[in-house]
Amino acid sequence: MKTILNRADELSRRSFLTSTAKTFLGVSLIPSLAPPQLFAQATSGRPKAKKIIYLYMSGGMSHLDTFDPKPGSEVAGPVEGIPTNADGVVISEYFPFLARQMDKVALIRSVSSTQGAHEEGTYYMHSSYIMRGTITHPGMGAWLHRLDGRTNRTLPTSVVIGGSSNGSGAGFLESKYSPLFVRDPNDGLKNSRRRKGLSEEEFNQRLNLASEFDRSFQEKYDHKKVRAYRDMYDDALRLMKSEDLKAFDLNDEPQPIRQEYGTNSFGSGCLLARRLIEHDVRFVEVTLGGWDTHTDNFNSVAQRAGVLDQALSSLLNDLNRRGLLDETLVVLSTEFGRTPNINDDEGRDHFPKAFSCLMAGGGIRGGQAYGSTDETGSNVMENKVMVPDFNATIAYALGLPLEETVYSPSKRPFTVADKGRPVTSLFS
Amino acid sequence: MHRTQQAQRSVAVFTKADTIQTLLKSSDHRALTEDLQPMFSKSSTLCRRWFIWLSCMIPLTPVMANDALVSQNIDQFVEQGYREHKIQPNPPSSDEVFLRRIYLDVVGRIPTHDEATSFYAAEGPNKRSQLIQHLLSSEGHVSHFFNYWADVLRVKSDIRGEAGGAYAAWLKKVIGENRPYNKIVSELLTAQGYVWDNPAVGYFIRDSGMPLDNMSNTTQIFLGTQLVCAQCHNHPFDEWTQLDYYKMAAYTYGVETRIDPDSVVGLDKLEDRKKRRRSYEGMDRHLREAVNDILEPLSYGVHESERHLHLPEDYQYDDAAPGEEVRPDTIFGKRVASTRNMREAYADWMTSPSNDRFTRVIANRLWKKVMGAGLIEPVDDLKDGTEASNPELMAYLESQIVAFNYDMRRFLSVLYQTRTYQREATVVDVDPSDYHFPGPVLRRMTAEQLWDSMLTVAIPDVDKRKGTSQYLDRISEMKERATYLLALEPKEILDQAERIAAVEREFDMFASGLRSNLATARENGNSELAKTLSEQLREGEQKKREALKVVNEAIALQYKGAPMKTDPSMMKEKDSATPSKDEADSPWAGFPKDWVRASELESPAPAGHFLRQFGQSDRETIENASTEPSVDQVLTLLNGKIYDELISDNSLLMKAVEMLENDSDKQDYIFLTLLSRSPTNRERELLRESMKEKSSKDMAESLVWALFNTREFAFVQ
Repeated sequence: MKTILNRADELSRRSFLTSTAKTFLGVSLIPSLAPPQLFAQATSGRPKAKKIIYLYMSGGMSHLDTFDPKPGSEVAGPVEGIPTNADGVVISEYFPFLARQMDKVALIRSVSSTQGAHEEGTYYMHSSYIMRGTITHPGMGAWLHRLDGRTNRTLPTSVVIGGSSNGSGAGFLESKYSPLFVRDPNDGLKNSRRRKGLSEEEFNQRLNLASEFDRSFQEKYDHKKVRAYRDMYDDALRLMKSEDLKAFDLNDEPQPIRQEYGTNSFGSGCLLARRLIEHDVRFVEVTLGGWDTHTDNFNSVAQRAGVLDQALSSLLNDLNRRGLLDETLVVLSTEFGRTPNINDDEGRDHFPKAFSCLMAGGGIRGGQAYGSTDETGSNVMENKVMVPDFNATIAYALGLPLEETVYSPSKRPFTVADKGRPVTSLFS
Repeated sequence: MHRTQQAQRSVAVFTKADTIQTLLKSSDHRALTEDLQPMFSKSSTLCRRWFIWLSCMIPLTPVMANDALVSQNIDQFVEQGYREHKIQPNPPSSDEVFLRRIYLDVVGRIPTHDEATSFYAAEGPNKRSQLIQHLLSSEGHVSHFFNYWADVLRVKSDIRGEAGGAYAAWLKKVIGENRPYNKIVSELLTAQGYVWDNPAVGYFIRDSGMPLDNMSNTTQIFLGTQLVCAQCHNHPFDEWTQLDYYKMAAYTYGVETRIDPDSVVGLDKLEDRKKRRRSYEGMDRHLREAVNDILEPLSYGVHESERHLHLPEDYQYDDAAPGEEVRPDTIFGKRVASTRNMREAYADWMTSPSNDRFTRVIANRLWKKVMGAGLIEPVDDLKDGTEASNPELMAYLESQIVAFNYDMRRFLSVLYQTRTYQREATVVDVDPSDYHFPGPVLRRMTAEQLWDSMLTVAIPDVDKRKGTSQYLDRISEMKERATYLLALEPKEILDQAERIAAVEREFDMFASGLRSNLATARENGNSELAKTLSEQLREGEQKKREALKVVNEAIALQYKGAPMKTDPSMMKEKDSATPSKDEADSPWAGFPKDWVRASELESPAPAGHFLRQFGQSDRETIENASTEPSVDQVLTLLNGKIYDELISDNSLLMKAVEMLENDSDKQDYIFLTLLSRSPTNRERELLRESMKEKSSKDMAESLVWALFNTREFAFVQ
């Protein structure tokens, strides 16, 4: 019991003790979360995953209407469940395509967060740390780069598609660990070629002129941010010369594949993610927004789920066909679930206490539903996975050293998933 | 309280020591540098006239004399801090550095070539002070200050139909009028009705469905007090309990931003609709959606209901029972009588000059806006033990902003007039929480400053160019549309909606079977079949879109027709008032419509826009703007489409350069336009060397490109 309490930080310890410990303490939590010694032994067989595609459902995805349905009950609203190709795993009717891919997927129905507001929740889910006014923490892409290096010399190590999420940046790490942000996947990597009519010689001459003009300014102001731009120029120039730039161009994909993923920006983002992974980009995040369904929950979720269903099922199918699924961990997460109670606007409100995420590929044993909630989806009944545990599981899959301390410039110690423990039983 | 008294005592001492006369004479004035001299001999009489005019416009008034004294006092407090912390102040800034910085800080863009030359040519000890006054009362300042507040208040212009846009327009209007800060806040917190009744309702509509978040954002923005953690549990690092949180939230919990449009137009009275509690209970989704679309303008506004706030069912502390009803109460300061209108009581309490935190936050915010770091950092996480880095100065600033009746423009002016502000920026990285202001902080331009500065180079009269969405004009139109809708019979609304729903319904039936077959085909690897099926699906979608277009156009004709019927002249007038790109006699002929200042674009700009690339806030969270570098910013500066406008023949800069005779004049002009200074001798040498084989046009393009790719351009010294 003591070890469990020690692993939690101040905040989660408090809520842990007062609200949730009574229900399951000492029952099923301990065996699933490996203590450090066990974890060290378990590392011999891993890692399997080299890369990660991280799908973020921004706004707080309703668990009850997606991956933890409670058909027929008061809390379900009109949503029915459908069987899947994984024995005994039922998901919401909004996912007819994904239902046929569940043999590749491990659902985690017992995720729990301490953060109930978007900004804080998104930050926590991405960084494993609670948002503070005094420091920003790195996201998983930056951690991966920092702890395990890059594999493509010219392309960035991590790419975030479709808007930056709170907590997905480089945080206190140097800006060279910052992901590249691509707003619109269909635009590819904008401005990565010289302007028309500008020769390489002329381009270099201009660059040279710029750096001469700027010399006295840069000598005078010895600022981190001024220096950081120099790094960015180096990266940008290297990128412009890269053979791998074509990875960003979705026009190289045959039409049927583009249709399969969906031509909306999330579908295109997932397809771009696959292309980047093929070119050894190690971390790609794609965001699907619109899950903040305080009003008109059922119509909105059905609509979002349709987009997700098509893109995610195609992505899994495609990775599998290309033999990439074993080395690519696919993660789907969100900042919190939504209330079992349906409010007067036919909406559901924020609910961090219990919600669902999923993982696939990268050594994950598919076809399982890990953890569970009670009949109303309000409380985790078994195998609770706190947010840092969830991220520790990702880090574990990627073979990152969970214990390695990295210091911020202010000399504060941090680790990749704070004090989270990986859920090793998810892996085959 | 104690600190304020102390501060006032020290002020009295300063007042005796310094007369107004010596104070005014002491303002820094330096001779022009030799480099710049030749240029001024050429400068036109226009510049001199501009400056004489400027001097006449701003006579020295008693208020200004008082304010000059306040600036002086602020410097004294800061300099006391230097002595205590053994800090050497930075040297005074040159005119070039000052000019560029004051334009960027006050009007949010670099000075134009003419603005720069006028200032350099001007003489007299008050030229800086006069320029500050001039800029603060200009249109450019409204634009820039709006960007600042849009980031703080998370203003989104595209929410809830036109509500967000009208709210943004209102904010610009009150900034333009320099409405006192406490009045603005009070109006935001008490606004009622539809957006066309009072656009300030946008403040609550922004957080529709999130009344608790709205409250914690409100305390964070205006009181610098973070309650957000206490939403789910007692605050781990501060004194707030979850009960405190709920008590505060109870003040505004009755505020409803959703208005049931069904009841407004009488749809709920129709017999077959009464029985249903929820729309999915035996209800057709498509019809519901269509009704919602039609009635959308009527469904958002602010009204107060009898809704009461209850503690959560899993409430875990001993000070109250789970599910208990919560009565409003303030977390600090005076208690407010509970018999009054709740929201007015809440606003009065919040904005009262006796609410220390309200005053401290705005004084500290504006200090940070001017100097680059707050006296308290972060500006929005004050706790009981929080100490300013210079407590006497903090207390003095608080007393002054109260004395100014929360006149932000006047307060900013006082700060800009200080010696402290007019020093050089600090050359090393600073830790904002331990900074004693030897000078302002070096900052990268905000995304908006960069965009607006770029436009300044290319576009004439950039501050005057307006965007295409003039919401204040449209508010009356919105009202008329609403009036039209309200006049319809419930049955008529349903009939219109049914026409849309029928199309959607038919498509759904067609598509559902097709989709399932498609899934099977894809899994079985039957790509031929999959292709045929997805083509059929696409054709179906296309047909649906066409059908919807026909129906929607028919309906829209009645809506859009409404204002035309009542006043056909209105539309015409509006057209002529809005300059169009296509009109050859417009000063902006030939420039893209969306090359307008950031404040004239939608808020936030769409993802992928230059502004977003360079860190404009997504308006999701308070002050979410960023000045962090990224690879894609650099790619834009190297290869971006921006150069299409910057170096086109139509560009303001290129036209001016074209008129000049020799290359060295052209180069000087470009330097002064982009960097607000002349090239140094070394730079001239370099230019002679590298440009000798280039045509004039190539030379100009290369030079513009090179200067845009310097840090000197992007950072505010």
